[in-house]
Parts: sequence; C-alpha cells; structure tokens
Amino acid sequence: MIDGILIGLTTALTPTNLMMVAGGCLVGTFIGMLPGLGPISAIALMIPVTYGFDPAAGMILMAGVYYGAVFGGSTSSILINAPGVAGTVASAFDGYPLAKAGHAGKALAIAAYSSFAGGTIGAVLLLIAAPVLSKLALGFQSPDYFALMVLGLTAVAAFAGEGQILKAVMMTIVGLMLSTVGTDAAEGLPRFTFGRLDLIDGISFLLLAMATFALSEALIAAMKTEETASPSEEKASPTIGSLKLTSKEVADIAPTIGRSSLLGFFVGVLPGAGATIGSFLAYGMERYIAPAAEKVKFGFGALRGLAAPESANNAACTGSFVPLLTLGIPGSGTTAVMLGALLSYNVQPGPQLMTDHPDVFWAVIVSMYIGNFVLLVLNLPLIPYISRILLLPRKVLTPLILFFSLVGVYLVSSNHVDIYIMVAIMLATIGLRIANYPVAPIILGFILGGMMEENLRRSLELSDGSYQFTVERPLTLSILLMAVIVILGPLVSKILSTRKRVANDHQI
Amino acid sequence: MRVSPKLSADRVSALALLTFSLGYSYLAANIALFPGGEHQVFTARTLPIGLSVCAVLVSLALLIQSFLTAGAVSVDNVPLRWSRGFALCALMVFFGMGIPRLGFIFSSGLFLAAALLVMGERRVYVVLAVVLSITVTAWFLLGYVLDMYLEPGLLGEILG
Repeated sequence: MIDGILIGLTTALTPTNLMMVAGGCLVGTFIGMLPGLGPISAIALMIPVTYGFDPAAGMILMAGVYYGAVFGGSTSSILINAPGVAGTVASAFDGYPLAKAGHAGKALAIAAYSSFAGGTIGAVLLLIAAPVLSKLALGFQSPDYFALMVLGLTAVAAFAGEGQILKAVMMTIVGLMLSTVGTDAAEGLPRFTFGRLDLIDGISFLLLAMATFALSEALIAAMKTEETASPSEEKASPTIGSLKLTSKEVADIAPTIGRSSLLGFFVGVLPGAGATIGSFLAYGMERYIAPAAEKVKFGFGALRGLAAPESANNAACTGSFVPLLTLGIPGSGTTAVMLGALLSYNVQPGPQLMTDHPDVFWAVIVSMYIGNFVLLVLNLPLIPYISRILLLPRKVLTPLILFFSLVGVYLVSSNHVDIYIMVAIMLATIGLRIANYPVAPIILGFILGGMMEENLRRSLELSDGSYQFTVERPLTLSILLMAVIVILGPLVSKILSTRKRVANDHQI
Repeated sequence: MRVSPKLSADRVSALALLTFSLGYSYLAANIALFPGGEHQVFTARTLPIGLSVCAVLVSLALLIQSFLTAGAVSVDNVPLRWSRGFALCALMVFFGMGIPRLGFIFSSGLFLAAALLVMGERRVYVVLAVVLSITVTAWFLLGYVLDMYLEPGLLGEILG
C-alpha cells in the first residue's frame, strides 16, 4: 500500500496535475453554485475537455471539479437557501439561518472545514478499507436497502419542533406521494400524469427543492412589509461576519464532524445510497444525540446542524468511489459519469484496476485528498467575496434569486411548463409555512420515495408477497430496530422525564 | 368565541391536505394496470394506495388536533404584502409563457426589469445595469461557453 501511495503522490504532485486539481476546484465551485448544475453536470462538462489528457490527469481534474461542485452547491444552499443538488439540502437547514443572522462567513467557513475533514477522513478510510468495504457493500440486499430507507425517513424526527411531529410526518408522506408522480420505474405505467407528457418523467428533485426552498423563501421575504421585515432583512444581511471560529465552537463541532464523517463514508460506500441519505442521517443523528439545550437550536443556526451534513456528504462522496474503483460499480450518478470517463480512456475500473493501472488507481485516491486541501486553501480566501452577494439590497437580490431558481430548473428540462409547476408548488409551500408545517420532510420523502419503492418491490417479490423479509435477515432487522429506537426514543425519554418530575414533586 | 388566525390556518391547511389526500387516493385507485397485473405481488398501485391510507389518516388526525389545540404562533404568520407576492407570481407565470413566444433572453430581460420594479427599484440605471449584465452574461455563458440550447422563440425566428 505504501508503494501505491508513493505512486499516487508522484503522479498527483506534478506541477501539471496540481494545476489540474486547483483549476478543477475553482471551476467546480462556480459551476456548483449555479442552481441546476451540480457535480454530475460539472463533470460531464469536463469530459470533452479531458479527452486529450492522460487518464491520471483527466481523473485528477475531475476529482477537483467534483469537490469544487459539492462545495459550490453548499454555498448557494447556505447563502440563498437554494440547494441545487440533493446532497446539500440538509446544509441549508442551519446554514441559511446562520447566514440570515449575519454569520455567512462563519457558516461558509464551517462548511469548508467540515467538508475538508469529511473528505480527509473519507480518503483515509478509502486507502485503508476499500477492498474489504466493497465486499461488505455487496452483501447488502434489497430488504436491507429498504430498511435503510426507512431509517432515513426517521430523520424526519429531526425536523419536527415541539408538537410538530404529526405535521412533519404528513409532510414526509406528501414528499413520498410526489415521488410517485410520473412513469412507474418497473412497469412503465404512467401515474398521476393527467395524460400530460410534461409529467411523464415525474417531478424533478431540482424543481421541488427550488420551489420549496429558494422560491418560497424569496417570495416570503419580498412580501414582508417594512414593519414586519427587520432592518437587516430590508438591506439583506448587513454583514457577513467573521470567518473565525472560537476554540469552544471548534471543540463543539469536532466530535460531530468525526461521527458524521464515519457515518457518511459508510453510507456512501453502499451503491445507490450516497451523499443525500448520508447527510440527512448525519443531521438526524446529531439532533438526536444533542443535549436538550442544543437540540432546540437545530433549524435556527446550530453549528452542529451545519457541520454534520457537510462532513457527511463529503465523506459519502469519497465513499462512493469504493464500489467504483474496486468493483467497477458506480454507486452514484456522479461516479457513473466518472465510470464513463474512465472507459473512454480504455481504463476498466474493477478488481484489476489496482494491478493494471496502479498509477490511475492511486492517483485518484491521492488527488481526492489533494483536492480537499486545495479546495480549503483556495476557497477560504474567496469566502468574503462570495458572501458579498448577501450585501445586495433585498429589492435587487430577490428578483435575482427568483430568476436563477427558475432558469436553473428551466435549462435542465427546456420545458416552460416546469415554471408553472414550480409556481404552484411554491404557493402551496407558502401556505404550509404559514400554517407552521416544516417543509424539509417533503424533500426527504421525495428523495427516498423512489428508492424505497424499488427496494420494497424487490423484497416483496423475493419473499413472494410476505412481509417476513423485514425479520428474516439480521441486518434488516437491526436497521429497522434502529429506526424504531430513533422514533420512539424521544417519546420514551419524555415519558421518563415526566415521571421523574412528578416523583420529585411528590417528594417535595 | 373569536377564532384566532393561527387556529383557522391549522384547520384550513388540515382540510386542504385531507382534500389532497382524498384526491390522490382516488387517482391511486384508478392507476391503469396491465391485464392480470392486479394478481401480482407488487404493482404500480401498491405504494400509492399505502400512502393514500397513511395520508388520509394523518390529515384526519391533524384536523382533529386543530380543534383540540390552539397551537403555537408561526414564525411566518406575520402581516404579508400579498399584492406584491401575487404580482411576482404573475411575473413568473408570464416569464414561462413568454419563453416560447419572445425567446429565452428577451423574456429573461423583461422578467428581471418587471421584478425589480415590483420590488420598488425605481432607479433606471440600476434596472438597466442588472438586466443587461445578467442577460448578456447568460446569453454568452449558457449559449456560447456551455453550448446550451436557448429557446429563440417566435420573435427570434421572425428576426432570424
């Protein structure tokens, strides 16, 4: 392995390849910031550019673009509540409130540090455990995936405030319902399309995320009167705040980053799970284990609430390379595009990659780490400039957010009907927000809905329609038990604390 | 007894969700299947029907809850300038309608200018600067650098 790392370092640390990774990070950051253009689009755009390169240089450039695009996506999530990709949705929950409160600099710095730490831990785990983990990941079967999706849905508890659990559950169901719109994946039958071709592909994630987050937020901000909008809101954020973290804040988020990185990496290793589930699970886990005083801060700018999804999604991105490099199975959309790029270089990923093309294998792993480092070095100084977008007056910023959100969705589909659907969803979201419904569970349900249906279908078909599959495999049962604990845990602890209080009152 | 706005918002939203759930249930029960499909273990209807049952039950529970509790005051439940909101919504719809007719670039410019005016920006040079910088950048970056298809619209076709 040491020889391999040395090969990787020798390949990745040449001046040309260092320029590749730096250029890739910068380009990726700017592409990732545009709604609608996530890591997949950014890497796909790079494929023609890298045709003439040698495989290692091409993959190094793409690794840089990948990390840059993930960080760029987090930037738009945090600054304008516009998560362009599913993996950065959870970053908006606490990142955007922090930016609104005038701490955009700190929020972006935490995102950068957490991403760096998550990527670093992921890269180390990739170096050490890639072959073993790929075998473990292959052991996951449909019932286990289904159980994992159920566990992912229990993260809904993290979005429910006091007395809001029913509302959060309802919103998750609405998200699941929206995920069933379009052509049924297994049988090819149209569902809820009203005979319209515009709905045959279903509702896109981007459309839903932009309508529920960016558009509704921008419109509510635009509708606030001078009396109801605070002076800071009227002028957007008056400051971007300091980038510096106090030692107490670092000590507070460090364990969160460690835990979330490990969780994110292992979820990322599972083909199909990826950064989105990793980030939601990490957010849910952190809220679940946080002390009561910290728990209430989640959703209102908790530092842990931002650090958790950021480190988890970056670690999961690294984890998704495990099945690609060791088995030749792309674990996510992005790695599928990378697989295509590798094949175009006549490099076949899989068990033989390490022996046939050790320079490519190790260079990609090492360049991931270098990409993380370069991203931190390049982007930290850029944060004050990127954050300046918040200094624009609200009457200029709001039309720009509306425009970029609409255009981001329209350009992906080139279908103007998507704009009408967005407006309809945005109006419904505003109504729900006025009635105090949390909207994040809609996205959670929507993202997990398709995968959950697919795995439930396979599981039921394999077990001949019996729900015994939920208890047949120890792994499935363990994951489902974890889900039950996550849902019932807070309820049980509440009952216990009430009993304790009553007992204490009686003693007094 | 005077019903508080929050209470009625809870009831109205629960009723709206119940209506939505019932509509979804009706459509789910009518999803077309292949002949003999109903005998399969899992069909295109299975999950939607399961979700329908859950949605109806939870929305009923929410409706009952809205009668039993006063609820907390929503952070978003503040006086809003609805006329501005509806104007911006109308602009978004006109933007969508304008793309096939006026083309992407021209519709974008009009949308931005109108949205800035609705938001209260009256300085002509600011409106012009924002509109021109954004549309020219979009045209160059999307059309030339990223080589994306930008709808020319009927107007673009007429102008050649």
